[in-house]
Amino acid sequence: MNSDQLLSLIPQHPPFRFVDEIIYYNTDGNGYLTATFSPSKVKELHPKLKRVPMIILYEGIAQSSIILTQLMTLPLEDNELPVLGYMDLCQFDTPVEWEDEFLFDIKGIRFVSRKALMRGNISKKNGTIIASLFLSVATLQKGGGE
Amino acid sequence: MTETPKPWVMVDGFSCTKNYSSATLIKLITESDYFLQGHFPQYSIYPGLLLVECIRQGAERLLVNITGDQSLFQWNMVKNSTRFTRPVLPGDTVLFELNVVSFPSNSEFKINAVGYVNEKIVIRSNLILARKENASV
Repeated sequence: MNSDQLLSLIPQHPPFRFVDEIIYYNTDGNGYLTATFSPSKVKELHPKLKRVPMIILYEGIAQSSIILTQLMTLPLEDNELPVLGYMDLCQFDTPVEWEDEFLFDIKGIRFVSRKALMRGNISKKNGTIIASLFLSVATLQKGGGE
Repeated sequence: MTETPKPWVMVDGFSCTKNYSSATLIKLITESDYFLQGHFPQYSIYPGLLLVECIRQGAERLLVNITGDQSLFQWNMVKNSTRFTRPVLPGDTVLFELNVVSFPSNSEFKINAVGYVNEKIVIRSNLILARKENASV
C-alpha cells in the first residue's frame, strides 16, 4: 500500500488529523510503522496559537498506531471506531517549535483480536526524542459497547 | 492569565479548595465542538487525549494557585498514565476531580485525576508536572 492508501485507514479527519505521511511500515514479527507530521499546518488553522500543543503529537502517534493495528489485524468495519484504552508516556523537556517536523515510530507488542498494545517514540527529524509512550487501542461498535 | 485561544481552552469551569490541594474541573461536550468535525465525521466521540489535555490545563491552573506563579506554560507534563474507561459523547458534562498527591519540591507535582460523566468514571489519569528548565523560578 502507498502512503495515501495507508492514511485512508485513519478514521479521524481534519481538523483532528495529525499524521501527514507514512514513510515506512513492516508487518513482519510484531510490526513497525513510521509516520511524519508537521504541526505548521495546525498553526495555519489556529494562527493565534502561540505554542505547539503537545497533545497533537500524542494524538498523531495514536492515529499512526491505528494504521499499524489494522495492518496487523483487520481493517475497521464501517460500524467500528478505534478508541484508546490506555496510555503511559514520558515526555522530555525539549523545546518544540512550529517549524519542527516529527517522526512517529510505532512498534507492536501484542495484537489480540481487535485490541493492540504498542510502544512508540515521538522524535524530531534530527533524531531528538520528545516523548516515549505505551498505548493500547481497541474497537468500539458505533452506538454500542466495545 | 491564559494565552490559549479557542478551541484549545479545554476547561469550562474550575474551582479549587482553600488549601489548593485539590480542584474540580468541568468540561462541557457539545455537538458543535470544533474537533468533533473530524472525530469522527459520521459518529462523534470526544477524543480521549483532549480529556487528558483538559486535565493538564486544569492541573496548570491548580499549580498557579499553589505556587503563586502568574503565568501558565511554566510546566511540562513529564509523565502521564491514563486509562480511558468509557467513551464521552456530545451532550455529556465531564466532572474532573484533581488531587495533588505529592510535591517533593516546588518544581515537581504529582497529581491524580478522575473524570466522571453521570457519576460513572470515564477516565483515570496520573500525571507529573515539572517546571520547565528555562522557566523562571
